[in-house]
Amino acid sequence: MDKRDRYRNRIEILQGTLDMLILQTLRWGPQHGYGISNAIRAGSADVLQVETGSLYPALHRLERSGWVESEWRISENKQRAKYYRLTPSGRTQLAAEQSRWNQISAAIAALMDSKESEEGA
Amino acid sequence: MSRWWSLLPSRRREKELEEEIQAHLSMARQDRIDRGETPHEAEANARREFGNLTSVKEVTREMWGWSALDAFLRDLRYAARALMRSPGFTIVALLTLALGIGANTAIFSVVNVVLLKPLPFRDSDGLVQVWTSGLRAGGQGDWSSFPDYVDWRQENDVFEEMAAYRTWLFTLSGDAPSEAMPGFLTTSRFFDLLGVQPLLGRTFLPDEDQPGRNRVVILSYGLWRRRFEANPAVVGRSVTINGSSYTVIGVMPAGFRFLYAYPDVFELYMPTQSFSDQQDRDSHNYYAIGRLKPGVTVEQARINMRLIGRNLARHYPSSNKDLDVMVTPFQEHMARAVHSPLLVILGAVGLVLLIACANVASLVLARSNARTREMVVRTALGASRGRLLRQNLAESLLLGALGGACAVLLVQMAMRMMRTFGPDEIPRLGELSVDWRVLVFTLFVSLATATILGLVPAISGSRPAANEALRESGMRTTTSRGSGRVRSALVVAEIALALMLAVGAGLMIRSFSRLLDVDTGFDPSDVLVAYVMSPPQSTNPTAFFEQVLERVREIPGVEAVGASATVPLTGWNHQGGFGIEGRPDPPPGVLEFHANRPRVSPGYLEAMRMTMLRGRWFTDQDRAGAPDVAVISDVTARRYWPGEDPIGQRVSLDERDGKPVWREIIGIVQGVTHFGLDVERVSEIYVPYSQSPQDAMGLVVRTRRPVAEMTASIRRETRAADANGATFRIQTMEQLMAAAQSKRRFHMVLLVAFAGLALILAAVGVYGVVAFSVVQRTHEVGIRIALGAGQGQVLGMVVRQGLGLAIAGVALGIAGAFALTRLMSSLLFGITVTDPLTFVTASSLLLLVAAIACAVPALRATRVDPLTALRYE
Repeated sequence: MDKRDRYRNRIEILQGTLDMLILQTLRWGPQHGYGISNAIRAGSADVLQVETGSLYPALHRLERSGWVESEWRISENKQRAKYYRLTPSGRTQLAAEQSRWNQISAAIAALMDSKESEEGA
Repeated sequence: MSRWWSLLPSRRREKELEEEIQAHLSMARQDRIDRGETPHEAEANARREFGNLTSVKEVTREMWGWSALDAFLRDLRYAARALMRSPGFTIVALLTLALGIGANTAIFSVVNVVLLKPLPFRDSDGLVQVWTSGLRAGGQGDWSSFPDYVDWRQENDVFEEMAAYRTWLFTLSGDAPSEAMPGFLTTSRFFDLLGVQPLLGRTFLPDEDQPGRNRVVILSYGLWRRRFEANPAVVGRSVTINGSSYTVIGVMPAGFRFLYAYPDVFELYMPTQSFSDQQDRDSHNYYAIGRLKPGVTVEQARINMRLIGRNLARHYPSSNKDLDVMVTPFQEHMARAVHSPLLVILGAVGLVLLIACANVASLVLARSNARTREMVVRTALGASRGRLLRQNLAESLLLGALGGACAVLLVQMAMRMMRTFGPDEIPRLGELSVDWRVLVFTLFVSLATATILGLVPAISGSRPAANEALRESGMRTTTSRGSGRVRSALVVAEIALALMLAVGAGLMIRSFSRLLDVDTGFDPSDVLVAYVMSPPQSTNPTAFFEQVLERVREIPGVEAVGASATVPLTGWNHQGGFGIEGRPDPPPGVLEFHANRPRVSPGYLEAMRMTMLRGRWFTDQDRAGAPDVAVISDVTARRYWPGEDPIGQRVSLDERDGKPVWREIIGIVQGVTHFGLDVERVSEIYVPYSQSPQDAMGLVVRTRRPVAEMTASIRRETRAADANGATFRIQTMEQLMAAAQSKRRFHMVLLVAFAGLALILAAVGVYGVVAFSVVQRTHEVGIRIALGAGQGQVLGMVVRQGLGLAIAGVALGIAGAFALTRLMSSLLFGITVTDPLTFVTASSLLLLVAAIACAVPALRATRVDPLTALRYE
């Protein structure tokens, strides 16, 4: 994959959506920043790439909002790292964002479908 | 946990962020190595993938609640380091700001005590002075007649309470030697209205101003300490005042003062004593104060009182026609004499601060040019424009704050000086202090100054052009055309402002020299003035005063002695109407024939060294029983007998046995300045005191003997004439003259000091800009010299640049001065606000100063070595 392709395939993550993705990732257990960004990339088959310049502010923002909390732990490869964990209120928030996301994506999908069918007719 | 997060000290949080990012990097590196990259590749790729470390940290930090404050503190720390790196700039800038802010704070502190700080009375905002305007009596004229006051008090529906008071001179006798002292006669609710409590005993009961109940007195703290040895048992005791017995009912606390702008300390408070003038609507001897009902504004009170005044004018046309009732907030009324001068001075000192700002701004610009490279490097390293601006602002805030702090120190010194040298006319100068109002003002001025300074580089549009600046070799600095123009504009503005101040100061100096040149009509040197009270209830005060005069004349070293009931400049006067024989009485309500009427001894003319113009002065033969006579001043003659000979005409100004006394005018004397050196002379009619007995006379003693010695002798001789005779307020005429000049002197000294400061600052400003441009143009100058330009040409080139700015500034300044000096017309005396001499002198002075400021760098320019200059390239 050359450089241009990488750029083309990368999708800018919408503000707000990133928060949801982070919370979603943390549902499987505590994770550090690097792990979260790997998880999002892997989970989206390399389509979604999280910039560190967005990831870390987002993590700190979520922590300030009380949706995640952090603690220092030793990682699997003996590295001291800061792990983020979902809080109960973070769980509620994730549910809310998820339902909002479902609404939005359903609405967008409906719009796109109707346009396609018009074209087909 | 999350709540603790925001409380973590920033340093620790910073460390954690660093560790978090390092962990990220090291895990990424490890993954890459595991995938088969070399450690070197892994390191580089991990870093590249991560992105800009600094900016990631920066944006992450911004998520922290305290991030803005942290950033600000970081900016401040950086600013402190930057300022410490250039101590020369810092010291000059700080000193300039401290002087500018300090001068403003000092003047504001005066405005504060005079106009803003509440008086030490209950709800002093609700206190007002009520007074009669339209009196022809001259002087300050804030008096009222007692019957008017009584009607005001009954008729109004805006005041919770009103009270009247007047000043009076008391003789306290008894156990200790007799002593004369000023005090107040007040209506009974006076103290309740002010809301002040006595230190001991009580204040007046509601009916204690009624005859039969008014033999009570309240002592001042000073008198209680001095004469009664601070004995608390004095309350309830009986004391002899003016020959009658009074019961002491209370002592006022140490800090209690009612009138401020007076040289005298008032020692006694007594209820009104049923004087005959309490029935007379024509005698305006009382002052009235009122306390507004809650919710009533001064304006409403004005309307109400004006209406009452109109009714009184209708009912009593002979006394009240054309009179109006005025209501002024008490504090404002007290400060009325200094109100407008203070505002003018505050304005002037504001200009000084503007100049100081311009100067420091110019320095900042010069420095920011020198720092172009630093700024460019920081921009290249990722600092945003906003970030640099914030940095700039942090530096100027630090400068402003430090300047303000230094200013507060300077102000302490200034306050000590003003407490000592300030004139009596400025009330409450003794209370000058750095209180919260002064601090808030200083803070505000400092912040405003700092903000202006911080924005200057932004306004000047000196955006460093990165490529150009980095390409320059290390030796030279660039200056953008924009910033050079801004600095020139700043200098022009500075010169214009300095000229306006110089013109203001010049006008004050000219006024003051006119004041010193005032012909008083008498010789004030080597004269002592001592008021003497005749023994209380004496049946023949004239005999007592004759004896005192006789005894004082015998004191060795006394060249001449005389007496007048109203000595000029002492504040005493005896104004009133008079009649002229053969002329119809003036219509009711119009005090057409009006004069000050001094009762004098025959020796007064010689003791004062006044000038007889025509006719003769009084002799010992002009006594009671002899033909009644009067001497008028030239002002009186011109006003009432224009084109006529007043000598031989008859006037009446008093009554004897219920009939007017007709006095023959026997002479014309040159008038004197009675109310003050800058107050127009009033008409005067002199009368022999023996033909119009008085119970207090001011001795005028011409002597070269030391004042202290003479004071003791006069006291001794007065008591020798009668044990109950008392002296009061012994001063030299020169002290009285100095007091009469002190207010204008104070204003002049302040304005001259500020103008001097402005001149120095402007000179520094011109020097700075010219010197800077000489450095900038070293290369050009070098080429010119190499091409054969002479010293004179180089000199001319540099001076032309500086003088060009100066001339532009002077032109602007003259226009500004024309516009502004009219605001200070009330401060001037004997000259107009556009006094040409002042304008010309001030302009020349500024041009001269500017020329000198240019000359130094210009001379340096002529010494530029062309080789060195060209080697820069």
